[in-house]
Amino acid sequence: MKSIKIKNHWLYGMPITIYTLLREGLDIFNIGTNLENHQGIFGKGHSKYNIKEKDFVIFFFGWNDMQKNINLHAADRWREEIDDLLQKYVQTISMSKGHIIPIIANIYPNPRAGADLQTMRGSEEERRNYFLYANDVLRNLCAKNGILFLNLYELVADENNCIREEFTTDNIHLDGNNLKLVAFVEDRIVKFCQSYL
Amino acid sequence: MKHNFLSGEVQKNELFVTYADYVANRNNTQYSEETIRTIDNEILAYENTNFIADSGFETKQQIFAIGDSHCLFF
Repeated sequence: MKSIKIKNHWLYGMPITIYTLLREGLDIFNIGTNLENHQGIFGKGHSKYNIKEKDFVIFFFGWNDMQKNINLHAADRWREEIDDLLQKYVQTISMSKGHIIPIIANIYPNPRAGADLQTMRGSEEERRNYFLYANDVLRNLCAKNGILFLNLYELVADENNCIREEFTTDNIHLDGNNLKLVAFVEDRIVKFCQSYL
Repeated sequence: MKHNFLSGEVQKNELFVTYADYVANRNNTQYSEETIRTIDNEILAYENTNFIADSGFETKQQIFAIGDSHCLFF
């Protein structure tokens, strides 16, 4: 079996929503280079990404927007807000083509019952409507803009559109300590990237 | 100790396991903690500086995931 390690870390100082990504931008070739003081807190040894030309970069943004901000700021016009937000998101990422090989990932499903929902906004049904609609929009926009779309949704979501019980320990995130899951997902992503080489 | 990842194998003394098997069974192995750390570090060093033969990836071409707190496993 051929494999390649995927660097996947949320880093201190990174935008945590599409909204902040668009507003603040992201120096993609210098992620983490000024964060030595925070290494080990969020970076877990990979604080310096050292992304180079021609590398694959998978963008995993949108979960916080759908779970928190859409309902808070645009509950009565959420489709229009998601349309506008994601169009700018995909257009911005498409500008990186020629330097990197950008990939946009689907937005992950709802947390499970028992998760800490204090910062979530909207009912479970409302949030489910948001991210299901957003994933459809993302898929179409990626196709129109020639961006690779990585869809892990069926793998990580259960029949209620919540994160699968067996893949999480906090009812919100995928469990990075589940080595079989990590190996499976990484292998799937590597094969996905290989198919576009 | 020799790790021959180019052929998809990890060689340690008389023991041969594939990288995938090693990862899958990492918490259920007869390796000592020190050996596991050594292999982990060598795997990481390898992955950080090399590409996998015949995979189609260019030399040192890597895959990164960036995002919010739901970036793959976070």
